[in-house]
Amino acid sequence: MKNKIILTIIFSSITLFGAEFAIVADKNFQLDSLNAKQTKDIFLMKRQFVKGVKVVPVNASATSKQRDVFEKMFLKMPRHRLTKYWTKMHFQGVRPPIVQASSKSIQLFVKNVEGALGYVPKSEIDATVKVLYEF
Amino acid sequence: MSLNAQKYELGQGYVVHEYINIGGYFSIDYANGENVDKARLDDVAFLMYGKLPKAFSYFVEFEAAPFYEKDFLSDTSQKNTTFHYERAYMNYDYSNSVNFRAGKFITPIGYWNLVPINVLRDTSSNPLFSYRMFPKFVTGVESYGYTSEESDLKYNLFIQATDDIDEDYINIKNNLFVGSSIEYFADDAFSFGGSLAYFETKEIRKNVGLLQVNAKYDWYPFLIQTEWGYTNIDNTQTDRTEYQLGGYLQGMYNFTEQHVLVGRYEYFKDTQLGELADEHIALLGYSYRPVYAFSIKGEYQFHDDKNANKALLSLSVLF
Repeated sequence: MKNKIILTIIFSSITLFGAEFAIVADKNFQLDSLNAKQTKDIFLMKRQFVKGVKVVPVNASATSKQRDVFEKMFLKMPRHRLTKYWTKMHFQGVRPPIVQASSKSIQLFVKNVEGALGYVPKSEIDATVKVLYEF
Repeated sequence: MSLNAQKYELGQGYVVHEYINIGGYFSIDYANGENVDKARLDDVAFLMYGKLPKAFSYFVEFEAAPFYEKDFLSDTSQKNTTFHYERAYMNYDYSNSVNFRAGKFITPIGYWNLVPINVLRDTSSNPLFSYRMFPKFVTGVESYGYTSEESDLKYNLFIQATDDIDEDYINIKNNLFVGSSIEYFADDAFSFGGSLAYFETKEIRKNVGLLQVNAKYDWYPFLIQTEWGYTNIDNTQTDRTEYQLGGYLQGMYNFTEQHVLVGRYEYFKDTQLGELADEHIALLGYSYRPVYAFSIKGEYQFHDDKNANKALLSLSVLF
């Protein structure tokens, strides 16, 4: 119940005040923006390249609020549907994106691994990464 | 910055190493009707896959099926404890549009054939279309991807010009199999596609041409899926030309995340079978999944020949 209230507050603030999260990559990433479909396909491992660049999506921790918001608001797939999706992908030899525990570690990973992409709250973005998409 | 900071989750395999993921599955089923009373430990399978350096990846799967079977009508039983190559291939990912696969892999035709194991299906049984019309596996090479960087049209081209890597373990033995398939993703819910293929069977030499179409509308909590195929069969031994026409229409409704009601109608005509050429089957089923990778299913099949009506129960797990 408590989680539902927190999520409702987060969703409401997104609706009222605009994008709260962003897809980020290293400053040297070859592209300056992504569209919603490209981003969704990347995080569902349907496409591995963007304009010829091999990409490495990074998920936030499964219990984090940003992961919950990302799945429900951006992917528009609740956790049980994603579980079904990744179970079928396991049979095809595809695993979900790797996980980093915090926004700080996501940005550190993105900075150090070529082609890596992660999502973080806009309020926690540091100067080492660039924003490719906001939601 | 561990690459493997993911805990184990049933149905998604275990990460041993960046290059090694392991998993497997099994199923138990029971069929009961006028002409059948049988229990099986059916699939027992292990799989291993992973990414390798330089855009390569691999996949290997071994399976024994039916592992153990008990026929209560004849009071007999049998075991098949030899594990066979179900899949064994390497991938090379070059771009969204051009990727290559070589080895033994699932024939990229339609929906059902791509997720053929009990735990990933929504019914215990398979429609006749899925195993009578074309070889379920290819031992050869494949190119696949999207037709352009941002296209929603996916393609597969494949060729087999040799025997199957494990001939004891394929539904239709052949030594030539070429084909292509496409799938268009109109949006997140709707997709449709089709395939063209040609193969030559081994024991009784038949030259077979296949035309297949499929469509799916996945709008939670509803899912409607259909596949149909036509084969033109040139039997070189009898000098006769026969054909098969078959397919299914299946609808599902998710009451909750765990409970699903399934209905299916299928039709199959095979002129090679003479009087038995036509089959109509209706099916009503129920599926319960406490978690997605653990499936308990029940169904009842209604056949033209009432003696073939039967109930099926199954339990299956992917780990």
